[in-house]
Amino acid sequence: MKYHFFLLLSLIAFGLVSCETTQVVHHKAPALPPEIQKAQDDVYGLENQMYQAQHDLAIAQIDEKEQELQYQKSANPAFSAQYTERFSKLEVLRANAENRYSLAQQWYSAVQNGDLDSAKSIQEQMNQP
Amino acid sequence: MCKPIFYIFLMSFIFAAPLRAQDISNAIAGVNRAQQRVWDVGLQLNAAIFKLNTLKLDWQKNELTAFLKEAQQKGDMDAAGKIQDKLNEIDHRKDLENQKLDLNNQLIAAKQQGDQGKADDLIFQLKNLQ
Repeated sequence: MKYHFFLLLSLIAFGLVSCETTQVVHHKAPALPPEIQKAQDDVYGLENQMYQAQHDLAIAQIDEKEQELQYQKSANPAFSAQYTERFSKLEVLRANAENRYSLAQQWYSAVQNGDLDSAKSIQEQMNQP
Repeated sequence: MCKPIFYIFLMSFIFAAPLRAQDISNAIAGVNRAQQRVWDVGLQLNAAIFKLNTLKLDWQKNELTAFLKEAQQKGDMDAAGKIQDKLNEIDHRKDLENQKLDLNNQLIAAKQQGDQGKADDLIFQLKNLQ
């Protein structure tokens, strides 16, 4: 399942690259025809939904790990210090996921305002490891 | 005095264990739902990107066709040849985008039918087209 998930993400990434390439080709041209603008807005809307779905997945995975740790901690109370450290790591992951989603919302806001330079810069921040 | 406390502790542990197992089971179900949502949105996004690319290529083709006519009218066969090469390249890219869109639609159908074998094959074909 994980393999397929990453494969899907890579397919989308390839799609977006080819999408951006054609956009660059047309960048010099005047305003885009309305049907292209509409299709572009659809892509932005779905990209936004994708960021939301990825965020929900990340949070669900963290929740699952927390539940498992809680279960293990109850079964092994002697190792509670060790579990505290693991819980802290999960909280860092949760904060990272929230931060990424906050950037995604800024990206979508920039896109909707037609500020494509800011949108690109925000996406670059999001793609940083 | 200690016995009731011990029994309360024991009972709470006995009843808490299945509840925690239920929590874990709910959390796993949450992950599966979230993964499914990523898939659904991902496939819709793919389709939207392929459609957008096709529209842009159509637009480019229209503009280049006008330039081609202009070059031919002027008798500039060198420019006309170059434009024709670009038009052929656009046709090839449009063909690829249509193939990708078709495979993506088949992939959506395979996922809806739960045919994982077919979905794997379609993903492989899609990846080869990129």
